[in-house]
Amino acid sequence: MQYETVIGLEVHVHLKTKTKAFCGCSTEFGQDPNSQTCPVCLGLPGSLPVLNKRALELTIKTALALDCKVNNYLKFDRKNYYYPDLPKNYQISQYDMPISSNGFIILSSGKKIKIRRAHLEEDAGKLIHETDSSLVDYNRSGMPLLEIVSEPDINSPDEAYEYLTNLKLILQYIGVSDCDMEKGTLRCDANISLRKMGDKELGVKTELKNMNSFKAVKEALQFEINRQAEALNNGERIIQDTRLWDGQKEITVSMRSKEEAHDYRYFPEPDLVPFSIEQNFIDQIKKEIPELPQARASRFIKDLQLSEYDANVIIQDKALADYFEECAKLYKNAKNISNWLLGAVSSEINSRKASIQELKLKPEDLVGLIEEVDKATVSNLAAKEILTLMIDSGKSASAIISEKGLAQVSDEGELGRLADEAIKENSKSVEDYKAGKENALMFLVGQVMKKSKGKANPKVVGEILRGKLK
Amino acid sequence: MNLHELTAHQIIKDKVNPRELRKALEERISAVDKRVKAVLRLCPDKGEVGKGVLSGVPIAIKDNICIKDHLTTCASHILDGFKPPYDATVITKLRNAGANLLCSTNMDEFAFGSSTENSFYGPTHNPWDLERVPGGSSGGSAAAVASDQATMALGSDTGGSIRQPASFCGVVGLKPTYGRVSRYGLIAFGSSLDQIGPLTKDVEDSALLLNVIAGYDPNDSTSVDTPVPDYTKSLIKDVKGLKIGIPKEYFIEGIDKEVKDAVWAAINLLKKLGADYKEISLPHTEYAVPTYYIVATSEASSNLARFDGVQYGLRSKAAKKEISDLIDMYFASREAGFGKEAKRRIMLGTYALSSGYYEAYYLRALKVRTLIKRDFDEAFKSVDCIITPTSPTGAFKIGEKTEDPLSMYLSDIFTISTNLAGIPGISIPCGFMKNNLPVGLQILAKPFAEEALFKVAYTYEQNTEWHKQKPKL
Repeated sequence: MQYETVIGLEVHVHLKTKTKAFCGCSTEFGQDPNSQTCPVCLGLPGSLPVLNKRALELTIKTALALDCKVNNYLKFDRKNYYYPDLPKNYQISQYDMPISSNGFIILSSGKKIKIRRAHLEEDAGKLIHETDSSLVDYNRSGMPLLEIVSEPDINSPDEAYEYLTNLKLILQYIGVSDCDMEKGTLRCDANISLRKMGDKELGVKTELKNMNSFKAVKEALQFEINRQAEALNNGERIIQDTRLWDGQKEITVSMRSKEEAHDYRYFPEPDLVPFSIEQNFIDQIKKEIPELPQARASRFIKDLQLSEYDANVIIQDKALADYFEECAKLYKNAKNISNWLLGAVSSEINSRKASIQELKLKPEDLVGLIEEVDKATVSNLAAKEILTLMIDSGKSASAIISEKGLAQVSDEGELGRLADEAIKENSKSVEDYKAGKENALMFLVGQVMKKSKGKANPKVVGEILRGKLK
Repeated sequence: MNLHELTAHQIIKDKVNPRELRKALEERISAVDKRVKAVLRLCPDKGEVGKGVLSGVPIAIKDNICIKDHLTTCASHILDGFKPPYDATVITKLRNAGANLLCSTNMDEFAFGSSTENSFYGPTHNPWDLERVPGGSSGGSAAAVASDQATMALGSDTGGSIRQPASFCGVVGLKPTYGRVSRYGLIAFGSSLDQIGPLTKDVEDSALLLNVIAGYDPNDSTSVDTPVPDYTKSLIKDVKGLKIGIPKEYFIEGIDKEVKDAVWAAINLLKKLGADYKEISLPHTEYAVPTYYIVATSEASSNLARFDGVQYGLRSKAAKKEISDLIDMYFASREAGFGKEAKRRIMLGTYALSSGYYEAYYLRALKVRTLIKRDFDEAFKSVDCIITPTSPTGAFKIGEKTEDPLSMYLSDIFTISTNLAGIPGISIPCGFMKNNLPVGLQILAKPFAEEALFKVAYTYEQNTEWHKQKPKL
């Protein structure tokens, strides 16, 4: 039987505010347990929440970047459930009037994945389980969270993966979140169901939790597709439940069924008076939104003649794309810059496990190096070594070339002498060349290069050798 | 006059020695509280005398207002040992005004009640008749002021919890406009209804205390950022041309005839002093009690969810075999920690918010609440204030209504609408019944028109002697 997969994703991201959503406590990660708490985020009796304006601004900024409609009426609700990491045993969230709705994200295929809603809420604390007890750390309690819910428009694990990648990139571009799944600043739950190809009605869905990477989301979805398809093929019914992804065993395990689901008893949060958001406030935030990744890629292709592939790779890293633009201001051939960035510079980034900002490589210095290659002062090969030295020392290409005497030798007298030596020492290759084997000449060029310690201009060497062996 | 009998304004005027004053009140508490049982615990006296408008004035605090490092329990077992690490905003303001924090007062557990019988520590007794209740839920504060165990007191009012005990104990009780006084540090019952307010021996003290506690608080989003006038400037003996509204829905059957007569006598006195009155209608009055018990219990069920034994307060010490997991711990702690009325209201509120019932109960109650508010808006177009009895009866006997929650709920029938509408209301003494129980007169005004309340209340008070009567203890 052929099935169509229907997936909806629910993403939670921590907003990058200095203080928590409803109190003045710091949001810094990795501090001593319970060191960043106050009566409000501890939910102590008598304490009251006060909305962090910055959290609202970042929420609206995100909504605008996701092409959502921003509702100009802000209302919070209480979501009631008992859990020891939730100090009030209710979460301040938004229920029937989310701050934003009806947005979308476009995939590379051109397909639009609609976003149903994005709303602001507070995070809970964290439980640390020990052998015979559990401890609670409330540092995370009250951190501002944005919940972004997609429509069930996603039809494959690959689409889910791309949606998440694009979403993350947009959030990073607008600077609202680090989106670091390891630190828990981005979390993703997935709803998935199968239906017979052509069916209009949705099948019974399951909700997947506990995926700690985009890859895990993809794997969990794939597992669930197989599991549900097998069940349906066997004539079984899918049971609506919430399932946990076990990354080690690579399976999903049922956590609770629909019958055990919470009744959250939502009602308007009486401690936060609803208020209208002025259009002016929204317009001001709109101005803060930078060029988004997809628009940037299009511009790189159109204005800077990058290939679609290169453009899409470069924009994946906002800092790298910013760097690229800096270079492109100084140097005409953008394609050349992109080759360097995606080649030698990326190798350096990877081997040093650093970001482009952390490398001691100013855009003008990289451009300087490329220009030395263009002028044939150095060979491409030598240039790569120079790049390493530049990053090590923070010096410019020309400084290193003159310091180390790395300038390419094009002097025909000097090169002629080395060519003679090479001809003398490699009679076999000379014969081969004369017998018509063009490769043999390349070998001789290589020998001359070696003798010059890489400084010889290979093009000139080739010409000299050809002349001598005529 | 004995020091413990003085009002705050007399203390300030006569520059009474704060040390002697504190001592006098502590002696008074030792002498009478064995019988009244209004005081739960004394606040430590550090011997310092703060400067400010209430310098040295001893004040009693209802046990649901957080005092830093001082046991604050809402008269509930579940808050055993809870010492807040912070002061409520009103406490900070009192300290800044130089007031002397005297004691915590008894109350119905979490302010759930109208008689102060629902206290984990046992009931408070009415100083006018120790067989009777002082009203509630701020019964401890009202009884303490009435029996001269405190110069003044703070209470909280969610559906009448300041005004009704003020009426039963023959003192002045004010519920300010919702948003006039910060709720930060008031342990919430019904967040959209709760207000902190003064319980005092006379109207002047009420204005003095409101001056100190009123004002916008950045820690309370529901407090309103409007200027605080000097309320003592409204203490003017003048009601000429004042238009009083008498809501016909409040003079119903079931209201005690002596109460009714006392209230009408008061209205006629005001008329004699130059005011005018007319009958008005607040047509949605009959829905106030059911609306209130849905809104208030719904909010309470959520507000009280945090008392779970995890972080503070009571954690059940039941045997380990009985508590095998977290859920058992929750159940055991809440079972042991909450009293009967608290459990009843948590269940009511939980039910009203449950999926499938929300629209029929909570949402509908919110709509009716709007209608009740509109009734008042409409009324205040043609009158300056509204006068009603504070409660349909005088103080009832201890135990008389504990088995009949509905009849208990009805003792707040005249005060509840005020909280639903968010308007201010004051209860002042307006006479005594044959059995020597005080009767309270309720005056209501527009939002943020506390000045109008003070003016009417002061004029009436200065033309009568009721507030000067003392219970014999």
